[in-house]
This record gives sequence, C-alpha cells and structure tokens, in this order.
Amino acid sequence: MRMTRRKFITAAGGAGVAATTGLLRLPGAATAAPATIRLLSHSSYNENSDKAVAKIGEAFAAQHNAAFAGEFIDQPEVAAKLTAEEQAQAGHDIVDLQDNLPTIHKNFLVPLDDVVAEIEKEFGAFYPVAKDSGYVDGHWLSLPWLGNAELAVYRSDYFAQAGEPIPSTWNDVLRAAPKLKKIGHPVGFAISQTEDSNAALYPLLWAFGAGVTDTTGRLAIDSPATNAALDFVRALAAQMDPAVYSWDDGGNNKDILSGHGSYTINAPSIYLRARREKMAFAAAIRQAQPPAGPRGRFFYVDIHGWGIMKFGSNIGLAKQLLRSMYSAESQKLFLTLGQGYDMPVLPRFDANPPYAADPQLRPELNYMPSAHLAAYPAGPDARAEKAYQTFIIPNMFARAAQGASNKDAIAFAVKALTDLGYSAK
Amino acid sequence: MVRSPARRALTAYLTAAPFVVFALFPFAWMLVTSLKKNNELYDLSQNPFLIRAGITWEHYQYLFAQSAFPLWLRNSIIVAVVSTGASVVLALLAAYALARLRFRYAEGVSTFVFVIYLLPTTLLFLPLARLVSELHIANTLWSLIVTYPAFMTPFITWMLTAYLNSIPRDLEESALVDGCTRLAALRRIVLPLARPGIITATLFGFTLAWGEFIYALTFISTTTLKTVTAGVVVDLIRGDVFYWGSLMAGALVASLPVVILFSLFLDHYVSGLTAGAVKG
Repeated sequence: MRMTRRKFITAAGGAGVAATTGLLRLPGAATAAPATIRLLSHSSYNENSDKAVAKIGEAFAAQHNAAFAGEFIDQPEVAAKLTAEEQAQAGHDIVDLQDNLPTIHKNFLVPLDDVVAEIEKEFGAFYPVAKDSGYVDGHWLSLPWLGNAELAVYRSDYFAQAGEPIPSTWNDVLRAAPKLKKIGHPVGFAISQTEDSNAALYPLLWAFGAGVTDTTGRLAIDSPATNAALDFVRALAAQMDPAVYSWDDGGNNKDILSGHGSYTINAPSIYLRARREKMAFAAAIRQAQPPAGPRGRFFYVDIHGWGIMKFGSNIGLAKQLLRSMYSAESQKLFLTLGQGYDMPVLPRFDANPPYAADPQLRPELNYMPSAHLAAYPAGPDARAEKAYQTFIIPNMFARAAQGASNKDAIAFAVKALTDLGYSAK
Repeated sequence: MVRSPARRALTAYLTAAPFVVFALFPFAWMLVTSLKKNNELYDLSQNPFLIRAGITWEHYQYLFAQSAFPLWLRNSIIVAVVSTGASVVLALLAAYALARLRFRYAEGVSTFVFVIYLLPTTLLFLPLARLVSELHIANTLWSLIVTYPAFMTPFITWMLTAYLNSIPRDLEESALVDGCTRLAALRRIVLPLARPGIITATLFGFTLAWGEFIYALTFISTTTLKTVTAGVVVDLIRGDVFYWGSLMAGALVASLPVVILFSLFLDHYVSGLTAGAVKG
C-alpha cells in the first residue's frame, strides 16, 4: 500500500494525540501529597557522586514521610536556572553553590548557622577554605559539602622518553616543555574562557607572588610579580599546542586521553576515566601536587556547598536533610562513591579517606588545608566570583601569550576588574 | 548555442555540490562520531572522517536504553507541535489584520511585531520565569507550550504578513462584493491561497520550537519531562567529560523529525519562499 503524505500526517497526528493524552493535563489544585524536597546540583564527572547525594536524600525522605527529587545538571547551566528561579521566587529548596556564589545569591539564602553549629559541635570545624565559601557577612549561607582538587596530571612514560624528571616547580615544567614538544607530546593547560583555565592560572599567579588583590581586597594585579607570571606563561605557551586558547573544560582531558598531551592541570577526572575505561596507557597516567613557583606551592580548590532558598516550601525539612548529610554513614557513602574525585571539607573525614589507598590520589591528602578560592589573599567577595566567572585572569594571560605586551595585558585586567568594582585605593 | 542536457546537468550538480557538502557536513560528522568506539574517539592521530576500529552501536544503545532520550523526544514533539499550532493560529489572524485591514497605527504595530521578533530569548526568560511561576505551570510541558509562542508568534506573523501582501486583494474584494463575510473570505479565499506560506511559516516555527534551549533548561527540572535539546546537553556532559558518541547520536536522531517535515512539504516550502519573487 502506498503511503501518501495525507495518510502519513493523519497517522502521525493520531499517534501524537494518543501519546499526548494525560501528559498535558493542567496542574490541578494542591493535594495532600507528601512534601517533596527538591535539590539542584551540578552533575559531577563521577556519576556515583550524584548517586550518593540522591541516596542520602531518598533515605532521609523515606524516614520523614517525604519525597526527594534531585536534579543534577551541567555546572554552567546551574547559574541560568538559579537566576530564573530567583526571579520567579519559586523552584528548588536546596541548591548547589560553588566557591563564592553565596556572596552573589546571599539575599535569597536562608542562614544555616544552626545547622553548621550542630555539625561543628559533633565533628569539629570546617577547613578555612570551606568557610571562605559558605560564610558570608557573619552567617553561614551555604553548608560546605565537597572540594575538587586541581592536580598536575602527566604521562610518566613521555617524561621518561624525554629524559626529564617529574616536575616539581613551574621552572621544571618550562625546562621539560620543549623536549616533550619535540617528541610530539607537548604540555598544555587551557588558556581560555573555561573553568580549568582559572584553576591552572590563579595558583600560577599566586606562585609567582602576584594576586588580583592584596589581603585587604585592594586591587593589586598591576605588579612586578604579575609581569613575571606573564613572562613565564608567554614562554611556556610557546611550547604548547595553539589549541589551548580554545579549549573548553574537556580540552585537556581529551589531550591527555588521546595520548597526545604529556602534562596538564586538572581534577582527577582524567586519571579516573583512563583507569575506569581500562585505557592501554592508564598505568602511565600519574598525578602529583601542582607545581611550585618562586613564592611557593599554591593549591586552588572548587568548593561546592548547599544553600537553602528563602522561597523554598520545605525550609525546615531541607535543613534537616542537610544536617543528615553529615553523619559518619553519609560521609562514608559519599566519599566511597566519590572515588577520590570529591574531597571532604571537614578535617574529621579527611583523616583517612577511602581513596587514600590509591597512590595516585594521595596528592589530595593535606590538599585542603593549603587550598584557596579565587578571592585569595582577600576574604570571600562577590567581585572575585564575578572576575572568576568572566575569566579575566585567563583572558589577561591569553593576551600576553598571543602577542600583547605585559603592560597592555595588565591594563586590560585592571580595566575589567575596576568595572567589577575593584579599586586600588 | 544550445548546450546538451548532460552538460546542463553537470553544471547544475557542480554548482550545487559546495552547498550540499556544506549542508551535509554536520550530519556526516555526527553520524561518523556516533558510530565510533570511545577509544577511537580519543585517537587524534588518525583521520577523523574514517571509522577504523569498526562500527559500534553502543552510543545509540546507551541513548535509548539507559537514558531518558525516548521521553525527551516525545516531549519535544508534543511541545513543538502544540506551540507551533497555537502560534500559527495567532500569527495568521495578526498577519491578516496587518496585511488587509486599515486601522490607525497599523504600520506602528507592524514595526512593533518586528522589533519583538528581534528580542533575544535569553532576555525574555527571566520575566517569563515569573509568569510560569504565577500560572503554576513550572516543571510541566505547559510551561514551554505557553511561553514558546512569545518568540514564535512575532516571527510567524512577520513571515505571514509578507506572504499575505503578495496575494492580490482583488480576489478577496470580489468575494466581499459577492456577499462573503470577512471571516468567510479569509477561510474560503485567503487561506487556500496562502497555504504554501502558512506551511513555510509552520516549518520555521516548528524548527524554532524544536531547537529552543534556554526555556527548556530553566522551566523544566524533572528528567522525564525534559525536551531533547536540554536533556542531551544536561545529561551527556558531566563536569569536564563530554560523552561525544552519545551526544552526536542524540543530536543526529533529534534532527530527523525536522528533516522529515521539510522533506514532506518541500514543494509547498519552495513555493512559499518564492512567492512574490517574480512579478507577472
């Protein structure tokens, strides 16, 4: 039988109506259904990290005659969703707030001082960097939950082939870079508008003694130390693949996992994925602490915490759920499923985490006490978060590495940071 | 000089070839990527257009068996069909009024519609989020069906106004002289003549609704209620790891309904686009 256009449309329309039946019912009046605690989070590279949160949430809901709905979405999309919900004054009860985001969303967040006080009473104080993230204007506005380390990730076989030891300092990296490039395996990290670029370049800046601000929050980017850092990155970038200027967060993962790259700065996702997928060279992928500069070794960490929105309809239950996330059982479940991708933010649970047995994850031990957020050396600051989100530091380095003078690159950064409200006075 | 049919055909194909290559390249890339094994996807040393390690269906299997992709597809179809239908009806009435009825500020209204069409959806999603919340339709397909016409209707109105202007008024006026009412003239005279234009506008509207991302992301939270555009991106990018095979498989399958629709109505589409291009 020949299928005419008319028959096709009729059949497709009929099937469509059948499929739609029931789906487009308008929401009715509220019924006596159990309360649903809705949680919004970034989706972790490690799917099991999300599953751990969902398990804790579901177990809590089951004990409290409630339901739990966890939504895990790509990190960059969280901001759009959060903004829309704040405009609508409706949405999730619990939201994932990264780094200094609590300073930006503070007017919409319920203080969690009571929850944190209970947790600290039982388990001791949070790491200072976790407090930098969650404690704003005298109140805990988010409950710190995890930290993601940024480590040096390298191919040990390529370094051996180039006759270079594993770098301990940025100068070691610069010395090895031409040799690694010569054998077809250049070093590389993103110098682009992506989070990985921030994660590599902020600690590099600090390692050279530079910073966006001084300890009091005054603009201090225009300094001899920044000039030195720019000179260094210009020299190192010349040994990298030019694609680093367009990398997204997956760029360095792909570079190393393809067998092309030899060295980068990243969270443990590269190492863990190579191991999980049993890649031929998985054993040669190693991790170390990030390199030191003239002023020492500096660690950058992404802190994720939980905030409760004022417009949420289950504030009391949400607080209880957050409290339940800090029990020995919950932490054990979370850190075990986290596989070393996620680090604890309470020293109590960092004493002997499940991933400590893996030599390649040991660089994460004692990482948190020395780690900083983008606002370092100043305290938590909404301007620092905006500078981080708008990639001012990567853009400054990208300009210098692609031909601009130090003076012009720094002038660009000063202008952009001043536009955000920073001042040298 | 008369050229041979073979030479004419050759000229036509050679002229069209660059456009065809340009148009088909994304589809070919998606297809090749979606059929490669993960290890090969990461191998940058080989020709990326070739599949050397054998074809794998694992990315499609993951998509259909382990993700909510079939539900996302269903949701996209429902939202795109219903919102396009509503937008076309609204836009047709508006376009008819702008093209045919003489009233004060008609030109101003026409310009206003055009300006609204130029507003980016990323500007509208914040006030619309409030509207969705007030209507208590957040996290339902209705939140998209109600808001999509906000950007579709001005666009379709703008297209249809231009098309209706190309239909001679005389036909309609003759019907009115013969005793037809305005609505009957619209239904019996204008609509049949405007069919290619309406179909073209519908196709463009459907494509807009099908590819919309920001509203689908912000207004829908439940995984099973997501549309394809939001679902694929949100669920197949995890941190700094992109599931390229499944992403490309999802993008390829998601593009098929639009391809099928355009193929079905190609004749109407072409005549709709070229209406008024040549004056007799």
